[in-house]
Amino acid sequence: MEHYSDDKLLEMFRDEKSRNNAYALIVHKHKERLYWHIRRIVINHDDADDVLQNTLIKTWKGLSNFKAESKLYTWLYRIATNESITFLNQKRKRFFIPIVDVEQELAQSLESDEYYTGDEIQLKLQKAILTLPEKQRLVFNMKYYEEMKYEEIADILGTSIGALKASYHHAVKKIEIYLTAN
Amino acid sequence: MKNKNNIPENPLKDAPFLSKIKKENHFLTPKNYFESLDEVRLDKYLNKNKLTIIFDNLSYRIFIPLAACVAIFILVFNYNLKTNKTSLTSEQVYETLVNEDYIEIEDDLLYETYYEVTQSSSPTLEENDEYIEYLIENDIDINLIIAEL
Repeated sequence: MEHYSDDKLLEMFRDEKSRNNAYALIVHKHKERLYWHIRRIVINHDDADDVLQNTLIKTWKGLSNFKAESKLYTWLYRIATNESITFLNQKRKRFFIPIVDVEQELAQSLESDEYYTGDEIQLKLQKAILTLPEKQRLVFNMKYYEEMKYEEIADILGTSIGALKASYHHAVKKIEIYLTAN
Repeated sequence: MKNKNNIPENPLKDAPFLSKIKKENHFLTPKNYFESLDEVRLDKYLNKNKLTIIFDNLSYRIFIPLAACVAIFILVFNYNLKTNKTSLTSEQVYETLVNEDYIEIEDDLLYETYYEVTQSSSPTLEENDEYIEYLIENDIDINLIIAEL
């Protein structure tokens, strides 16, 4: 499959004749990064698959109204992040789980997850990440694992760079304390 | 290096334990997950959403007005069914009124009314004379009429 720039793909999408093909190329280009971003938030593969589907459907619906004020992939990340958070909130409501306990449940499910192969220390790191507040967890994953720039994260989450730096700093500090204490 | 808010540029420097852990992805997906996403699901999304978009566009112009018309028709039809009662015969009305005790009719009043009605409908003496004259003029045998009755 050919590799086009996001701008070129958007141009193709605006043309009715090449719309479906452009959408297929956009999905092909970004699907893996989006999947891993979602997976780190919802942890479970099946859940990540559901959220990715919703993200792609929202993308299809919203792409014709996309004004290109931000980069395409940050817009896709924003949809994926919102869909993941919505999914976790729905899970809380569906199972009457208190706000904190859903992360504890995700941490427990990791131990028996057939699609997770981390050793003891990696599992401990994942559990430490799951103890963080939602915003700090998002920022930590994007900065630590996905190595995004603060500017990109700010564009996705709609937060100032200063606030993001503070969030990341607190997240790292809390994880370090968790790892050394356990 | 720290900024004005005392937040280090690289917080990992202050986290030796975390820094030692390798940055690896230990999450897995089912075999050929991403390949199958392209081949199978993408087609499904496009077709599914084409239908959805068509429905969304049509719903404002056709389906919603159509649904409103159907709802109004059902309401009017139901109203007519409830209000359009079948007419009763005078006997049924009488039966209902008397048997269901809607009204009480006193016997004396009933006889009085009956007497008045029969009196008014029976021919007077003058009328009888007219009948007899008519029969004579037309040469009609009164016995024949009585026999027929």
